[in-house]
Amino acid sequence: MWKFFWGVCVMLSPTLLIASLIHGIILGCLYAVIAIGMNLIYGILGAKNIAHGDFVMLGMFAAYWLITLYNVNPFLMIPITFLIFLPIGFIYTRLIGKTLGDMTGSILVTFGLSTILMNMARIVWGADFRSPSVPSVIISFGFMSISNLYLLIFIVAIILTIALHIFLTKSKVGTAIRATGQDAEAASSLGINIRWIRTLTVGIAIGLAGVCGSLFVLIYYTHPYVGISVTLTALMMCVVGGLGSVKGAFIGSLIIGIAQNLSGAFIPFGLAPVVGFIIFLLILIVRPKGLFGV
Amino acid sequence: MVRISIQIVRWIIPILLGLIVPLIIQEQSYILHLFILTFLYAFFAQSWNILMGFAGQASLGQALFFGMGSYTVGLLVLHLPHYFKGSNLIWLGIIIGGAIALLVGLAIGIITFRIRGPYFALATIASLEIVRLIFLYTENFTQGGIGIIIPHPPEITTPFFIIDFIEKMPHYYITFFMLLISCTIVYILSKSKYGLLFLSIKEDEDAASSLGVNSFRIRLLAMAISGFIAGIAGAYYAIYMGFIDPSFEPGGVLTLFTSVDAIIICLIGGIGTVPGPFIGALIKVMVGEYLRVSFGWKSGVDLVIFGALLIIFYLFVPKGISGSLSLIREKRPFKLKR
Repeated sequence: MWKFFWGVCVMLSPTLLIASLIHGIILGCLYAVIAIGMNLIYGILGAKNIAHGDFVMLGMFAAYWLITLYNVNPFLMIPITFLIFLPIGFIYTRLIGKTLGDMTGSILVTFGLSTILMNMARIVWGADFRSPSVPSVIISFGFMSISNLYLLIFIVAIILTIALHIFLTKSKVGTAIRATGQDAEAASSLGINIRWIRTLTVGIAIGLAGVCGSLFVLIYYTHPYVGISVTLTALMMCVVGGLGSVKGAFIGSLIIGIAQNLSGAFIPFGLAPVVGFIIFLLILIVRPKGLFGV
Repeated sequence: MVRISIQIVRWIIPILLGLIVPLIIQEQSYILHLFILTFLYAFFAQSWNILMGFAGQASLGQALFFGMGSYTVGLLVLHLPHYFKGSNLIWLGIIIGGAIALLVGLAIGIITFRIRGPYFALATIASLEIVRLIFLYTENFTQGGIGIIIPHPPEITTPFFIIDFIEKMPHYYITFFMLLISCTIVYILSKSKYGLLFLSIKEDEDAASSLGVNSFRIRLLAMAISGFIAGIAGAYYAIYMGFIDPSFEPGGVLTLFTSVDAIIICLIGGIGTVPGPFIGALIKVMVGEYLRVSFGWKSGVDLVIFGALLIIFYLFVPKGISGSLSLIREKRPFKLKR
């Protein structure tokens, strides 16, 4: 009871309210990039990529070792991890492309891959919780303060989201990706090389997962089993917004991120995901195909 | 006439084998344990088989029904120890667990009545996680992450012999008959009117409801049957294993991993077939255990190989073993092709 009372007091204090709101937005933006990648794969292949979070985990480990062993600047890490994970995504297309249009099959295959990846990571690096030592500076704005790492993550995530949006709506390749997602046969008859488009899309999605991992490791610890919880959260965000919709994934991530962070301020922190899940269920009950689903 | 005898042989031989084999290997309790797990998982996977294979509802929250069954037994033991702790009433707990899982299935069916396909799958995961987290954090009610220990049922003395539930043999026969009953239910269902109704909403829910099928009611029926079977499986699992907890690890009763186990078993054996879950469970339990024993020198290697096997399996036997066998049968000569 006193916990609840304390929670109400906290909710009434504007500083904590705004601070948890801002952190919710930042985490939401970071998750949005993961969720958009997942949504791209769903939109173009009709596959639920359960292994997506494990690629994020691999990205976290890659960034961790780059920082610990070679002292790489976090800014420089972003292109490096993207270039590492892009070819991995190209190879991954060969596997996930086999499950084209078969949802349960894609769950089976990607769950198998997820098992392989998380256990390989455990065999190679051990099951310890690791976190790289990155110097962080606290920037204060009068009544509240924020770590520069959070600020970096926010800026990079926003830039990535806007760049993706422009790429998908304005560029020729992006239009081809959306066309393939809508109707692969029609797109193919119009002269689009759908095979190459699929490879490219999965490559970009996995590359983004790697980048998100390298950002994630700055504020969170990494261990081999972190992938499945990231997958669950990102899947939920995709579905709230509507599967296959990039705008939906972004808005859904913001909703879930803010809900989880705000509720974490006034109920036991472990129960915070419950609020996110309940909001998710309520949204689905009102709109069975997500907010922007077709 | 010939067809009927083939049908009988197909049912009788496995049943006889299942009845006789444990008498030969009754000293080797480890192998009996593996068979018990096989039967229990096959029974559990049969519930997903009804929901997905017949009614086409891609539920990923099957572990919710499983966990509700085991937690019903656990909470009965925890809060009513006078009646249920180490007494024969615990067998009643299995039925109560099944009934509670049935109610949960109905509730989920009512909540998600407009949600379909991948959205439905995610909605079931969400409800699973909500229940798991609530059970994990209400320590006064469920003991949280400490888990609940369920003592063995007491032995039953009959004039001829004593049934001791610390031994494996009684569990073997109980799980065997549970599996047999569930296979019979699925077989009758697949031949009955309701099987056809399930298939109709699997193929096209809108078309079925336009032809006068009350799809909401049929979905609820599928959820109820599936929830009841999964709840009984969970309750029996709790009694057999003697310990349950809500942690997020492979093996926890309320985790996504348990749901995925049922799916993997059905996919290996063949979705929408009667013997599919048994074949799948046999392969999954035996191969998983063999890999764990022979690659035990480094933990994790067996799971890597298991994951690789899953992928290879999907690529080369996409319809599952039972489904592929029936395909081969259909390709035999002197049978008209459509």
